[in-house]
Amino acid sequence: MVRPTAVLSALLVTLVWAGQARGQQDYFQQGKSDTLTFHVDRERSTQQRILIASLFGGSVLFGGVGLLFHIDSKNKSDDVSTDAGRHTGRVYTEELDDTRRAALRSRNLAIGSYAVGGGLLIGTFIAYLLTDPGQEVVHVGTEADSGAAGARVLLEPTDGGALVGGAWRF
Amino acid sequence: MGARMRGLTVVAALAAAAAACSPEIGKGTYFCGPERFCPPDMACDDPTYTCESKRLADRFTCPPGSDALEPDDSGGEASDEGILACGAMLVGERVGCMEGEGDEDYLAFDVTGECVGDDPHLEVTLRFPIAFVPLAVDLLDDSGDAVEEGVPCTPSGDLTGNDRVCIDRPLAPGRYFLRVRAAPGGPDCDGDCHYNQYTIIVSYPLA
Repeated sequence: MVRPTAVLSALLVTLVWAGQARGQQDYFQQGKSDTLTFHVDRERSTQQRILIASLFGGSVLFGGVGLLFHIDSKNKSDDVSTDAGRHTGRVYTEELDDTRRAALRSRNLAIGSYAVGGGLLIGTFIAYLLTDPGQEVVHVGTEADSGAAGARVLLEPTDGGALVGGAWRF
Repeated sequence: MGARMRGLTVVAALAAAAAACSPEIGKGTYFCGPERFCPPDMACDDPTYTCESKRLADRFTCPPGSDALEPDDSGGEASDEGILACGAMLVGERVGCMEGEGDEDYLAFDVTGECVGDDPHLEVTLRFPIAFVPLAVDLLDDSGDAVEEGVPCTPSGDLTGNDRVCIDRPLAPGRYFLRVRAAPGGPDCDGDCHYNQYTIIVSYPLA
């Protein structure tokens, strides 16, 4: 019974401490404040978006084509493949050999398509990284030196927005 | 390290894809096709007419006992089978062999009278491996003229690696010959597989 009590006490202490810490935040910049600085995500240009979408679309397309060839190759391989030592009773004809060669051809095309699709997927990732526009630094708010007339903007980012206010000195 | 792992993953996926859809043909699993046709890296083992590893493949030799009736290369040297009795088997599963250009095997028999039945007729079946030169069987009369030629009659779904040709017709009394030979113009690996073994069955059912 001692342990749950101790844990509950520790939790309460933590919550109270957190509340006090939160209460110490200077939401309205009552104290002397400097210029507010924000980091805002830049957006990619349309061309960059098209590039990334094209690369990704190409990778999906080639992956799909590769899958089709893969399935085709699998089906044809199953038609001719045999386990060593188990006679099928079938005669090895030109038609069977055509099927075998078609299976190999589809396999090679599947590998090629997968390779191109994989390359495009990696290209998509690289393009995503290289075209990262980074963040824009925004400075908001000015205040005249103490004693002088001036204005300041009060801005506090919150979840999903910001709290905006102002203060003037005449 | 991350990029290397991704690369290895892609390579492994490609290798798995390649392995998953490659045709794998086991040795000794197919009969040789026409003209000793086999998958790459295999060769026709002539005695069993089966595709085997090249190391194990043997060349053709006539089956034991297949030359017991030689020489039977003409009407005059034909193996005489006697009188073909109504409703009886004249020759059952006799093994023969064709070796070399111009080789022919003859057998002779006599039909002495009309047989009574729904459909009395001569029934000849010649069975031979597909792998080598195809064979033909002809029914000749006493003067050596062709009365009937065998026609293909291999049943669908045959799993013996053999083809068949058959003669199926009623006979008037007289002396007849059956001639087995390589089919004229048949594929023979440009002469390299101009040989074959065969089994012949001759009977005279009444229906």
